[in-house]
Amino acid sequence: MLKTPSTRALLLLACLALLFVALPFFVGPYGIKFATRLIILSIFVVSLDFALGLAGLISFGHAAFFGVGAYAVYFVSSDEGAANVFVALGAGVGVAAVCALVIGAFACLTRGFYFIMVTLAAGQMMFSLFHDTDIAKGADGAYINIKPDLTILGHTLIDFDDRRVFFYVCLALLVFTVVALYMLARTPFGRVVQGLKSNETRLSALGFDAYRFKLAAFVVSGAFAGLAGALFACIDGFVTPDLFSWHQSGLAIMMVVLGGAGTLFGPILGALFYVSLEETLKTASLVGDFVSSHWLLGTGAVLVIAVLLSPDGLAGFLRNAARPAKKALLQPLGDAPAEPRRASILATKDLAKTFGGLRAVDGVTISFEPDLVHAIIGPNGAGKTTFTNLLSGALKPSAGEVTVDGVNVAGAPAYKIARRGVGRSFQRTNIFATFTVEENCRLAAQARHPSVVRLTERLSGSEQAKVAHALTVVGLADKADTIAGAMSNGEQRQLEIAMLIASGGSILILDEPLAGMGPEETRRVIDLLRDLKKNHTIVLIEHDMDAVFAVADTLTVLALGRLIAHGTPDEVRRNEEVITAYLGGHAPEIETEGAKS
Amino acid sequence: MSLVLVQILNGLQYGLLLFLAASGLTLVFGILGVINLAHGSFYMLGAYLAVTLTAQFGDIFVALAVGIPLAFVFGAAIEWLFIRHLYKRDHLQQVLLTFALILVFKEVQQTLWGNHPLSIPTPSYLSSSISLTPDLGYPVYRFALMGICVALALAMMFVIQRTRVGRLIRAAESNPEMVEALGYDSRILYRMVFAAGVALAAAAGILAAPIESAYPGIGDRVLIISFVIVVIGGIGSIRGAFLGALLIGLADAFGKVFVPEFSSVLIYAVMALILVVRPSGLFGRA
Amino acid sequence: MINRRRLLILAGAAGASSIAAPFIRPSWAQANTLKIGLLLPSSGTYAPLGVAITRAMELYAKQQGGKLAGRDIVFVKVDDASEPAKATENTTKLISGEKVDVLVGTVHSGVAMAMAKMAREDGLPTLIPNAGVDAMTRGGCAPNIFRTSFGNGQVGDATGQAMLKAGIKRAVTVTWKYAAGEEMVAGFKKAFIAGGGEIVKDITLPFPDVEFQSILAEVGSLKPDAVYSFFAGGGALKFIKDYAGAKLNEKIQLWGPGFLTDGIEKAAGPAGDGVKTTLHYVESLDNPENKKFSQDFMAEYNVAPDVYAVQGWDAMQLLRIGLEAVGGDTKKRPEMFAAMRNASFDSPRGPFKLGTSHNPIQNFYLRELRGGENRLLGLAAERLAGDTTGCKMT
Repeated sequence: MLKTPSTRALLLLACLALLFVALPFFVGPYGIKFATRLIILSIFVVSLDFALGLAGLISFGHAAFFGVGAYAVYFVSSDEGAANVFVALGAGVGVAAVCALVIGAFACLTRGFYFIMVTLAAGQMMFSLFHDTDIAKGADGAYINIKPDLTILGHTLIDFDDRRVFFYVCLALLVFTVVALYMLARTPFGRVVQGLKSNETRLSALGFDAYRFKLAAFVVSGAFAGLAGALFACIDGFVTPDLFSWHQSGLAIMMVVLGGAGTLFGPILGALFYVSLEETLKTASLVGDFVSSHWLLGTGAVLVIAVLLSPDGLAGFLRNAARPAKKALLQPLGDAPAEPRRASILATKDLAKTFGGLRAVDGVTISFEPDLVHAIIGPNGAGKTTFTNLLSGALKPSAGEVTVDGVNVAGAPAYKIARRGVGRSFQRTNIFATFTVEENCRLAAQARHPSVVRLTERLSGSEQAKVAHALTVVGLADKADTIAGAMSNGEQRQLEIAMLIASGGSILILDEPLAGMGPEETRRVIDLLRDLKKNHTIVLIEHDMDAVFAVADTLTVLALGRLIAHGTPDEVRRNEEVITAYLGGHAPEIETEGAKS
Repeated sequence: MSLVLVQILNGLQYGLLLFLAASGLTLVFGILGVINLAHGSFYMLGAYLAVTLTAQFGDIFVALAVGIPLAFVFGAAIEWLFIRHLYKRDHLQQVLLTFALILVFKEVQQTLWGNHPLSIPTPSYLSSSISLTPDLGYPVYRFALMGICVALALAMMFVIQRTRVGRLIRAAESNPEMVEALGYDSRILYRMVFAAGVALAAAAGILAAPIESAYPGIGDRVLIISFVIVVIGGIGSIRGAFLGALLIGLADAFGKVFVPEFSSVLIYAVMALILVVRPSGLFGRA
Repeated sequence: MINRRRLLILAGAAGASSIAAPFIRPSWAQANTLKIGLLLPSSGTYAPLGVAITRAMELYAKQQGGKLAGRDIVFVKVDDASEPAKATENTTKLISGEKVDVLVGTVHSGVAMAMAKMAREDGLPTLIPNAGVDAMTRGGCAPNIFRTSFGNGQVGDATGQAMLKAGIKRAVTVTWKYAAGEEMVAGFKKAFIAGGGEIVKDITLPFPDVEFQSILAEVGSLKPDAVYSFFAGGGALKFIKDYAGAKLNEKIQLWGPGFLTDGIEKAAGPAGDGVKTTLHYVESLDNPENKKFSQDFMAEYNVAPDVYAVQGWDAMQLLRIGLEAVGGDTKKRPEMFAAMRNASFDSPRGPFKLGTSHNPIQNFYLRELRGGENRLLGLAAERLAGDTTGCKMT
């Protein structure tokens, strides 16, 4: 999660801001222009950081939005008179946002390497479009002869032609960009966006439509990049297809990472550093002819060294030493917040999943009734995990139905099933490792209202209570401010259960929740399950047979993907087939790699 | 009609060349998990090696024979110096470091070979043309180039499918820990794979040199197109790279004739279309 | 810990000084030195052109004892890398940052347009030693901007006249789709059509694409008398080679402005034999200025000068005339510009004189590439002036 910048960082930023405010009074026109360019570049890289550092969307085509923002100003400007400042900047932001929406609609379908490449290709596509065709004078670029101004009743209030005025407008907009994006990151929306980077699978399992959040974050980022582009076009009134080129995108990424991705202020330092480095190395009167004629080599070498030595970027130097975790701010709450809860029935009918020729789950028909703990057991490779993945939507069934209260959800995406009240934990712990414990639960609690447009903590009163309740129940209330990834494995498993409770799912699917827990923790979770089943339907997969028999109300036995027994623990214990499956039979490996979560 | 024929030949020839470059990229990404933006620079290296080596030995094919091992050693050195630090880092750092390497290589190229476009002679015995139509010839060298590309592609397939090293590479791609656990030193394997990727890119550059000549920035376009091909084919898939390369080669050739202003856009549109249907490429794993 | 802290402090100091660098400049320039800002590419595709121009200018300065009109000359160089996107930034750096007295630049037309826009506003003496973009000496002309090279249309015009003289009736044009290409084609077409020629087809491809096979196939099927084409550098080299590779050179003559073959004479090899071009300079020109210039240039740099070097050389000649008219005082701009406008001198390319829009009126020569050398065939157009449409000197 985005941290409040450290005191050192704030101090540095304040000094920089002061320096920039005072700059026009003691440098000449070239200095002002240089600084203006730097500020605009900063807006651009900060916008990129929102997508790249916070949402984890490595956009390698961000120059496309910068470029269309610049071209938008060209299109709204005429040779007869100055365009209105608001129209010009608004056009830049608007066109870039639309562009980001279209490109993002494709790109957000993919992830990882593919995302990088799709955005790169999209940027190149825009480049080709403006470079190869006659749009806006093609490869040669085009001029905005009269720069935008703001004239009301004959008084020119803001004139972009005035270097100083323009400088201060840009500076103000940089501050606005950083503050706006910082605040956005702290909203419920921003929390989910950062969850995307931390753990997208988990986010979907909680009921968030990851695609829409990615797209929204991408559009926000693109819109601010458009703002930077629109301003850039006003520096010299010249736009060229080179603004779109992948080198620009690459340099922007470089500045973000150099400064520190995911901090929103780091990229400004990155831009400052890179631009100054390039400028210095290029100036023969400072470094001599030899260096200045090989400035590219110097820049490249410095960057290589920077990457190898400091993975966290410049902002890494400004981080506060690990602060002792603050005392938990949570009120210990015993009772669950009162809430009418529907009892949900989770059932399957002829459910099947095949991988190639292997039938990992083979025609399972079963119904899990409310207020009970249903344990699923079976030898290794029996298809238990595949079965749960089918239930939660992590895998699409090959045939058959999964119903929640009679509604067939088979084949629906994970987040949609989650919204029906199906929460799950994973075999390998699956939390937002970079978030604090409380933030993890908040994100889960927020899943009840998973709309993209949620910018206030309006509902937070009840959510706060749910978070507190969930953490108290699992015994993590005193660790609310700990970074989740730093806890022990057992604690992380407990956190995962807390998240399920906070998310308010009525059906809980727990995949080996006791794995890696000590006896003390195990006892605690067993008690917890007994308590939870009062208003949940719990499906439990577990290897620890003592625990299973201690807590389960029904037992379901899978072998070779088929259901071989179902009933109370005592009935199952006496079942002949089960005994054979566990003692006599050799269960072949039928789970494929892909079936494991 | 002759135009269509010529364009099919052009598309195939360009596609095969792209395949050499893209297969190196897909190998490196599929096995090492490293996004190598400097791949285009290795293509450029090939083109300039062709200049120097042909001047030295007089024949482009000798240059190819000498250049491939040289590029291989160079690639191993680059891996040892820089790339091996990236395996455990995220994509972002990889993008950054390899981007910085582009800047360095660019400057090195300018210093060593200058900015003038440099020409590489076609061997005299291949410099003639075959008449396709009474008005138009097609250079023999281009046919030879296609042949060599196909031969190299087959050799690569053979190595990967039929040899011990190939099995190891395939194993490393699906499960790197396992290869380590079986007692192989994956560091050496990785170094070899990266070096092979560099050698493939350089081979493409050497072969292309007599056609394209060597000039600054020759690798940039190849880099982006190679990435497009890798995405179309699916990461790590040699088969996919092959199909993707031919597809892009042909799309480019015909785009140039029928929609000249949008021929570059067309390539990316093809990619977008394929990704919508198959988000992890033609042969990519989900 | 101490080490790390010291490292941090060092890094901080280095960072701070590098950040301050753009704002603080050493002011070693003496009152009497004349700062000549050179906005030329020393990296990128056009770097060789930038280098040639710079060399000629430095040679001239050296021969003048480092002084023009009694003032010491200092060259302040900025690499524009032929990137239009950075053109205004780089120009600002020279005009406002370095406060140069004279601006000289550049090669790339897009960069030149951006530079000229700022130069017009500032009014400082500006010389263009290459960029041929027509607008510079047409609608965009200005009293303080002088070109010592050529206009794109002017070169095309000369080629058109020469092709008509050679009896060519039907031509196909092939070029990159960008200003320089389109202007050279436009100039060519105007002259060619006016003289009774027929344009069969105009073919363009995106700059700087170099895959020519499809174009060659098309040219083959159109069967014109000749192809008029403009490419430069690596693109030109590849075009000439591919043209020969497709056996088109056996049936259809290849013509173009001189830039098609300049700098790649040797590289083209036998494929280049027979390519005819027109330009305002040929190395083998027989006049005393060219002989001396070639010898001196060869002696200094060990390479033969090219057309770009000549253009740089003449920029210095023109500047000297202007400076001497005002005794080196660049503040007396009207007088200086008047002297430059009326200047007339002998250049290695032949007689040099400026037209009303500050574009040279000059001879164009017909050349044929053969055996790795551009051979002079004769005059293509004598004392040809550029198109001045739209130029209003204010």
